[in-house]
Amino acid sequence: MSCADPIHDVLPRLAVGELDAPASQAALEHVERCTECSRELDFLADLLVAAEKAPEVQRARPRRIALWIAGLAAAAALVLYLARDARSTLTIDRSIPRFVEADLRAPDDPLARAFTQAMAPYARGDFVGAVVSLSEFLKAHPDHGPARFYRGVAEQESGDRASAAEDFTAVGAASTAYLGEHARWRLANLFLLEGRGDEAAAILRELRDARGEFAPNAARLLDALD
Amino acid sequence: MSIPWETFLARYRPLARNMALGITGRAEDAEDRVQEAASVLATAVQRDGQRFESLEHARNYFLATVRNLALKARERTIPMQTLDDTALELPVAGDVEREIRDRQMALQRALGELPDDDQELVRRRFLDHQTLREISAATGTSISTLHSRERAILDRLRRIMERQEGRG
Repeated sequence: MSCADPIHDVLPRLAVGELDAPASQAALEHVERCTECSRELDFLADLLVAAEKAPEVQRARPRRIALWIAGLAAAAALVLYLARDARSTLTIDRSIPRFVEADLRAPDDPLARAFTQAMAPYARGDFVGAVVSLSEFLKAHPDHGPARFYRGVAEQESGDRASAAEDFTAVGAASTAYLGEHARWRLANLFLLEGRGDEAAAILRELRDARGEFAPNAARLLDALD
Repeated sequence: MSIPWETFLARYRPLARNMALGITGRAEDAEDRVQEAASVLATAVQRDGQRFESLEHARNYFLATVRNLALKARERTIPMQTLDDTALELPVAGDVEREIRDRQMALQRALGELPDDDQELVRRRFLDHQTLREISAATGTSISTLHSRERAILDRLRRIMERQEGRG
């Protein structure tokens, strides 16, 4: 017998990311009180994992759609590029990370197009595929920081923390801008998950003292670790 | 008996990431918030692993942290969730790791037995994060029909899981 509360029917929308913050809060608060909905949430969590692993569901993903999405992103970038000042920030697609946006400021650039295609598996959550596609891209463009960063994220998501740490370290060492900061922040969190607290704290102190965009996060996490 | 950290994250990370994505609207923000919440949870476990009563308690703590961090990120305040005195502990009764693995394997098999159209709907909804409206526009199927089909698929999968667990 399932819960009669309307929130029970909303839980699938929570699982696929369609609820805003207040609705998410209401759902989570209800789940804390309701055994049936707690069980339903675990069912949906397991379903998400199973769907990612089920080859039949993966095969139901027409390849042409991924290419179409990449093409659409490039076309959207071109339209926005023509419509805006070159220094403005482009908003392409919520699933396309900000570094891709930055590169798409030159949408007719073959490198930007190639990067967008290499990021297509990442954008749809296929992290194993993203490691493969970004590795191919990096063979031709070994100094491309965003590609190395997102390969690191994809490696971590795929469970290969050692390779992820290598990529984050490389990007963090090569860039003092936002990209490098982001890579060092990722590396610190990776070390924390592995119980390497001292190494994580050293990176967090650097981030805090650099007073960049990740300084508030680093300061709070250091406080928590203390 | 306890549940390995990796198993916990593997089970709840996709759901947490989707939930954060719904709030922030940006994939990389969502992943960062999940990462931060995992760090908060790890820190809490390392500090005092006995303070969480159950797996559900840990899950609720993790998801609430993700939600709060995502909300703050959307509001551009970015900071980490305060830790305060909330913490978790993951010792649970029984072989939970095996139970989770069995449930996910059963669901994976059940997904494989769905008709092609239903598999495509699952893929669009759960992997590609498409709304029913978007799927309707792409396939020409009405939103109400898609909604009914989604409910039927979930009902079918739930029944399979209930049989698997001997409830039903």
